[in-house]
Amino acid sequence: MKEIVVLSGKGGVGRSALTVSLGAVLAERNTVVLADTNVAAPNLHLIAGAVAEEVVEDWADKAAVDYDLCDHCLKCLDVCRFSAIIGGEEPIILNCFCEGCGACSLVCPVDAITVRPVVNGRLNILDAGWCRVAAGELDIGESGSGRLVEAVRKRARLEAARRGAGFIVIDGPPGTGSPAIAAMKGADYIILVTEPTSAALHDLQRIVDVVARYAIPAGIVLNRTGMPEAGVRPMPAYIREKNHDLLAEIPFDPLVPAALAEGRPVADAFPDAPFSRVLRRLARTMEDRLL
Amino acid sequence: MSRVLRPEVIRWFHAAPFATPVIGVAGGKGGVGKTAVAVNLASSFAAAGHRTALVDCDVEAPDALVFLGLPPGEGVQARVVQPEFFLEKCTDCQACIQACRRHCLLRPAERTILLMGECSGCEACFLVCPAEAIHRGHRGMGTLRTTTAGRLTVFSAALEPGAEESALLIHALMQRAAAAAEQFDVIVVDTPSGLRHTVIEALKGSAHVLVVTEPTPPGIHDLDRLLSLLDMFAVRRSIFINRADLPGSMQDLREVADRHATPVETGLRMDDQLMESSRRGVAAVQLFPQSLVARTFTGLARNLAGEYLP
Repeated sequence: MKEIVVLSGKGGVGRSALTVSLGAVLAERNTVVLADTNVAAPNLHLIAGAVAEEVVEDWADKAAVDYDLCDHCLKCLDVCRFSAIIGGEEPIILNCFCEGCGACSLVCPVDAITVRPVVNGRLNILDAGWCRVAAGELDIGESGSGRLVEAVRKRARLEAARRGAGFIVIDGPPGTGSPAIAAMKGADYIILVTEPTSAALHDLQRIVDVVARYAIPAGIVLNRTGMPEAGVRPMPAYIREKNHDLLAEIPFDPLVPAALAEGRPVADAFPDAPFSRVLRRLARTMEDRLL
Repeated sequence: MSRVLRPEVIRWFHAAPFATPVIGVAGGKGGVGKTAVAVNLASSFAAAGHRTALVDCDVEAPDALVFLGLPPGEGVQARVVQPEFFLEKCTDCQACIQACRRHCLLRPAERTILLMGECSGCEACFLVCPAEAIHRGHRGMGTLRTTTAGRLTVFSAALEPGAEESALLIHALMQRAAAAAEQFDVIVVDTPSGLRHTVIEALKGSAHVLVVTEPTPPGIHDLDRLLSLLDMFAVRRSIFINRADLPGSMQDLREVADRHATPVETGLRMDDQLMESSRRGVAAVQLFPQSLVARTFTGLARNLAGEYLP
């Protein structure tokens, strides 16, 4: 079982569409499980056309105040390094910022604060017919996504093991912080998606720097080339220096948003679209390298 | 999914230590055009003669300077506390190990404490050490930058690659902008994608949030979630539909907008000039001042200025 994780740094460069279609073309010859680790804005299931089968709640430690005991000294407010407590009459925990570190409970003179697990997300198991999907979904405005990402990947491995799947294709989160790290740790291959805009290439450099810390082979897919005034010839020097392969160049293809609107993988809705043809070659490349 | 927040929390969200109006730009889904909108809106405010600050809170993928073609300039390191152990003072009580809920502390031998895991800088270990054997060390979490071009000043921050302190870095960035707020007539805040706590940190204090979306199923899905967040905090907002001609459902989008009682402000179709400007790294309102894009943002800035600026 091989894990391919798709990252991009910048959001909106086509990462999820590529993840789903790569899964769909791999599924022509292999059993595939998809995982959505973009837990702050999960929408892989919308693109894959998957329906929910099972929901598992996820938890994170948060501080809670027992107001019957609290004597309003607000010492807790002073020690919180995450600005997660606001004061006034009495301390109020802002759950979204609480890291569950318990510093507040340590200084509370009347033991009014405890740290306990609170539901702040869920793991959705979905089925798209051609594959299973494990997707994490953090409650709106919540923190602590790393743990949920690990839960998603663990469940995806379980689904893959049950079905003897050859590939798990993981949609990573945008950005270059800890959620991206949690999504890629221990993967067999990293696909970095970018597009020929200054911003996307700038963020690509940041994610390349993150990937460089882990000994995971990685390659780059340049999406949406040949746009109207394509003047930018990308692949700057820093990419060549890292020896990442340019795996594929995908021309801008209006059938991609058309398939998206239908909630179907592009490779399935429009098998002969330029996008789908490139994806099929990419799938063969992945099979050659990983199997 | 919406939760009811205590009124104190809603007041906290809207409290600002300065009078300068803040316009937030948010989007939920990545790549819907938040930064393009924020950059062009801020440039339009500046072109209209307003002293403008743009705060780029997308610290994991900070692109506002790239969109504007501005050099990053000199940076200041933002730091987070990390414990340093002075073992000659250590009494081997191991209270620090007990206090660390992340299990980052290890005692490989007598009177020896090692920091092993990913320390969040919570300082719980400091609070319980009876011997003052733990001192405040630091590690960098990111770089803060302030870049000025004419009437526009950009406050930006770049998270150390792979670090987890996105929210703390945004907090530090917003404090930096707040300290200079009196020098500006208006502050535009660009936000990270996704609906994590980082968005709350970035939008705290916004008088109005411009919600950027597109009519695709993922765009509408994330719009719904973002509007739920803004509902919880009772934030004034309006929707900016970007790439309105993408295949999707404008009807679904309007239903979501209506359900959250949110007006649809204005928008753009897929626009070659906006795309070219982001490719070239120049604000569209500067590169194509006579274009539809420029007129759209100039009008948007004028409306928002009329409503929120003195």
